[in-house]
Amino acid sequence: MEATSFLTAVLSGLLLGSLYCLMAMGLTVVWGVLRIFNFAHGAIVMWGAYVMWYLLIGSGTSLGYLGSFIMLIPISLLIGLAFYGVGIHPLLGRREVEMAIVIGTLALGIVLENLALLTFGPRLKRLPPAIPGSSSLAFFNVSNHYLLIIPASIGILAIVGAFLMRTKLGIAMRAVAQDKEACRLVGINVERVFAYTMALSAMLACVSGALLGSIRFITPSMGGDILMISFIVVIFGGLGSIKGTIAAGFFVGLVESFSSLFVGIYWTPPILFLVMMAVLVLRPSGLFGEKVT
Amino acid sequence: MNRATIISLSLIAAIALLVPAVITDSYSMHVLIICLVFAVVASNWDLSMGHAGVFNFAHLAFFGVGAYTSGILAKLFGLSPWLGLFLGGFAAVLTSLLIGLPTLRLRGMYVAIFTFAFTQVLLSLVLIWSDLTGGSFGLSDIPPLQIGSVVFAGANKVAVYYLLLAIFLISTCAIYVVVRSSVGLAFVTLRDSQDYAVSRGISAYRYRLIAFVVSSFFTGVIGAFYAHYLEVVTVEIFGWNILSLALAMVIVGGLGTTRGPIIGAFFMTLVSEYLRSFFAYRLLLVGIILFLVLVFAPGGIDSLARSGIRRSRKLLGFFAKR
Repeated sequence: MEATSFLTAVLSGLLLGSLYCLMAMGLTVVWGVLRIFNFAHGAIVMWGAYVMWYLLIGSGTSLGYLGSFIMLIPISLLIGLAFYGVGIHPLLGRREVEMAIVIGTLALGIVLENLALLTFGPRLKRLPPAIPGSSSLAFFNVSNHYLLIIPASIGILAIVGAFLMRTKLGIAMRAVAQDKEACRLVGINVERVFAYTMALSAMLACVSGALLGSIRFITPSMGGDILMISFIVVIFGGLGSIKGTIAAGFFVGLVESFSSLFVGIYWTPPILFLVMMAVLVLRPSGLFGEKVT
Repeated sequence: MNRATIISLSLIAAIALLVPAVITDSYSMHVLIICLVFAVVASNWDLSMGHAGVFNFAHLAFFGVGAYTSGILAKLFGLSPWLGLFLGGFAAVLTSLLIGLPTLRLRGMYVAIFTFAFTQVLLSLVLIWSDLTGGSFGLSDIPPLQIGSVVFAGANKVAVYYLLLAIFLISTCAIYVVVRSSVGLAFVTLRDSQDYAVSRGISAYRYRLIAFVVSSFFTGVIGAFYAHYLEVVTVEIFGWNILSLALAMVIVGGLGTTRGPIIGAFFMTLVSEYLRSFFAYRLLLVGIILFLVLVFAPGGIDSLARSGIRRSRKLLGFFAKR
């Protein structure tokens, strides 16, 4: 096989991988802190892409790429807070909380998807590249936009990591993830930390959606595939493990780009599913995760 | 069974048998048929999710596997659709073993994710094997079920209805037999108090697998029936929309009650048929209903009706004393 196509596959794998890391990180922090899975995560990613499209193109304002991207962040935090207040908070404290959250977030995912369909219509949308043109690397040409996305997503992940490690709120989130009762004892408002965590997760989702919207088409139904990919990444990396999520995000991105190069794009979900099945059977805690049985 | 149950059951049976004499237009009969199909799907889903507490989101995958198996065998290999009904159920059972064996040992959330992803995988497999399945165009011209000159499809809705009623009855009786047996008791014990159940020697894995497999059989059969009735299957069967609609039936009707999901299937099918022409609003409403019921009436229609009956009895008693 040619070196060029190999390198192209590696590059597109890294590109996808960096986006998958962002998406799945949103699920991971929520699992770590709230111990729930958000089945509307894909729909929130989709909304991020649409909000970005609206800010950049639909609204007719001249915010520019960076301006729209910065505007997206407070909007996405508000989406997360609203989602927590409406969708998660009323269901916490149930006896069958896991089942209730799965079904409740699934229902909200359907609501969000069809709201997007009603608001923006079924027509495909796409964001233009932030920097047009391409640069030539050693053997082949690569669009500047792709070269921007990879460091941008890694940069965002680094900021989130620093936030979790250094700031008071970030430390509170990690504390709640470890022991809720002890947090209540030392006066941390656990519910508020839950809400902020959901906001952080929605921010990650919306940002990844905005970046994804420039390399794939934006449709109201794009959330389903995104949700499945994010699930595979978090399972593969081990639930609640940040290191694992990053490693698994890049791994899944590379598997996807190589499988679409060699066996066709439709084969990607079955191959990833088989990988997930093998991981669950052989090493159910994932690469870096906790015990699951 | 007490007298009230027997009387109400025979009333329902009489109504069910006499319906085709009253409803004569073809569209209403079609809606009724769809109601019954989904009553089977929802009540079987309830067996695994409601009674046994398995986070099973692959139930519509069993339905679709049944539909595609029987459709493909009948169309491309000329197999009898009657045999196809059984093979559809059998294929659904095999599918449930395939996903149940490796996953049901894991914690609930993993089962939810895994079964959810599996449905998406089937969707891509249908697109990959488009020579067999018709890909994104769907599998059309599936031969209908037939006895002599009676065709169970198209305009012959009355025949379809009675055949379906028979399948529905067998499936529902089977669910009640399982639920009332010691196996059903084990399901509920595992769901409500797993530690206690395990301490009394009930294997969580084995009984969850039983619930999973048992609930898949009639779902596959009814999937095959559905394919031969409509004479077409599309890849939509593995999609979100139908999954959310069926989930709404189970939850709105009342999780873990068998009769609840049956009522829910009728209710949600009628709601969604009524709103047929407003496509996006229809699913929006399905999502909103599902969420509101989950938050404000987690027992669904079944528990609302029960508390309504209890209240009116109290009221009656109050007036009787006066």
